[in-house]
Amino acid sequence: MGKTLAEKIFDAHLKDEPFAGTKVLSLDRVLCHEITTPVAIADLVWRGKDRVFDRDKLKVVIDHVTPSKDSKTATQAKILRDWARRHAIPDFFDVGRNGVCHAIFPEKGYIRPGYTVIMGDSHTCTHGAFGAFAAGVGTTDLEVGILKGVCAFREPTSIRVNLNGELPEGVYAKDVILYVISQLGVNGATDRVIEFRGPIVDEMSMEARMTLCNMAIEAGGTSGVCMPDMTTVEYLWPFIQDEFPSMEAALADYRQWVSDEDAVYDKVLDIDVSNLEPQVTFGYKPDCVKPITEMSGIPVDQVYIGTCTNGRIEDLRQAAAVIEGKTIADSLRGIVSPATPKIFNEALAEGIIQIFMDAGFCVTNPTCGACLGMSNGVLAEGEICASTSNRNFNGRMGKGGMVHLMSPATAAATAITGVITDARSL
Amino acid sequence: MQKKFGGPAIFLDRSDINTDEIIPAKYLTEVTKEALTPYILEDLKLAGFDPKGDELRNAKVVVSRENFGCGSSREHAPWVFEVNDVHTIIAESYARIFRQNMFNCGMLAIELPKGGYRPVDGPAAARQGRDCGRSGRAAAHRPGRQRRAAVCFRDQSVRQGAG
Repeated sequence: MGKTLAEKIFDAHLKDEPFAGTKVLSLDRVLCHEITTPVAIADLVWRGKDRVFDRDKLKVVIDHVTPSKDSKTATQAKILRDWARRHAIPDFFDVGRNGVCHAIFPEKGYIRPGYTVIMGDSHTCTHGAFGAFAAGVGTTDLEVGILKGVCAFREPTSIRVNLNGELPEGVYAKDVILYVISQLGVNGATDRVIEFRGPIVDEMSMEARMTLCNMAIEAGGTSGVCMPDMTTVEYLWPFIQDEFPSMEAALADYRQWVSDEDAVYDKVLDIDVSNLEPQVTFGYKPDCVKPITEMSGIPVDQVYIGTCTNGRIEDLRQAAAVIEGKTIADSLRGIVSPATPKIFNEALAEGIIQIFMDAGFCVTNPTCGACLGMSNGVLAEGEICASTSNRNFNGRMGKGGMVHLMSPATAAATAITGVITDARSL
Repeated sequence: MQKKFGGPAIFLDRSDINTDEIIPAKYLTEVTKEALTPYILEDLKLAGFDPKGDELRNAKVVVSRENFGCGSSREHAPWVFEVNDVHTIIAESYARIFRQNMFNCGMLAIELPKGGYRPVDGPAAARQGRDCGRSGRAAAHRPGRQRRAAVCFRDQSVRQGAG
């Protein structure tokens, strides 16, 4: 019987099986940010175990509230900063060099096929785009990971989502994943890995694959994964060229993780995207999704473009293409947060930042920003935001506020008209 | 300190109660569990539910439907129950990370069979039992008549009408 990518990674990293179905895995990456890590650090210090298992496997960033907004967030940043210095963690990204964790860590080449990755952040599933098993965990599991380099999981089964057909122009990875979530439901993939397969995924860039995998958790998934291929190798090549004699050799090595053809799946979903429209959420759950034709015309107070879902250069290009030469509606505020300094720089060089600023957008530093209502861009009671982020929970962006999730192109079109708008109609 | 797993129960009659409703992100700037105490379920909007009310303040057990604790990985979600002396949650199913966080915090995440959520009229109570082998006992009662549900610690199941 064949194995799935997740099963192969579990087999290769298995350290212990304390009871049936629970597997302790060795970790290749433990990622840390300033919201969930400080409590783990404080507990390690309190226990007299202020150590790290391998400083080179820890990657650390301040991203949720940066630069710090008040004494409490300054304290969180300081705890993380002091800890990173104390342990001489080489890859620590502070103000000025920092960006959204799920954008900056892949961009630095830290995530490779076959890796096990944890972080105290539910959207860690993003990194599965590289053919890794990447899962969000709580602070206690993170603490154990930092100290011992291991994490216990119930071994997940896999759901295979075959994306077939041809993606229509103006329809993007975000529309695809919103549709997939609407089909699976918010707990349809609990304790499961979602494998994104098929010609649509094969043709996608790493950025688009990260958008798919990022929202696996919104269907309850442990991780989203894509199979490593030449696109993966080309993205990673600047970081791995000393490890392999050629790209083909790297690909041959990475292909060992690809799911076997006779692997067993919990469920297989075949989706033809050829007639898919841009998708928009309604209500307060990410599986409440409708095609744009049923959502057009709803007025919004704020448009937010950025986050670990859609703050990458490709996303900014798609939004800028819609906005170029136009100005945003007087009735709303537009906010753009490029996800990393590198993306910000590319957007500057390509004139994208200028397009946003000419249109009347506020361009912020790289940060998680408005997405979770704990930094800038918070909504007032009763306000509505059209957002490229991943969660539309009640109050997510501020108490009494509402969020509609959509692609960068749809958000850009909405910014121009002031109401939810199909970018293809402009 | 030994945790107590029994006591009055509060019924939250909805699926998909998420971590932002349990503890909004703006409070994640706290670096101690205790500081979270007043903010429990602050953003949960549910008919008849008052996050500042006596029923929640007195509750030791939370009973809910499917996919409890979905969303964020924040361990602040089980912590805010813990610091409010709620160590037991009974639900039809849980989000993976929340369930694991509860386990890691030494809390009980009891799983009901699908569709097993059946609220009992009136104020309910769940009480730790003494004679079910290694199991505890949860009771839900109306004035004058007590109905009980037993919680088996061994397989973390719930049986109704045991009292």
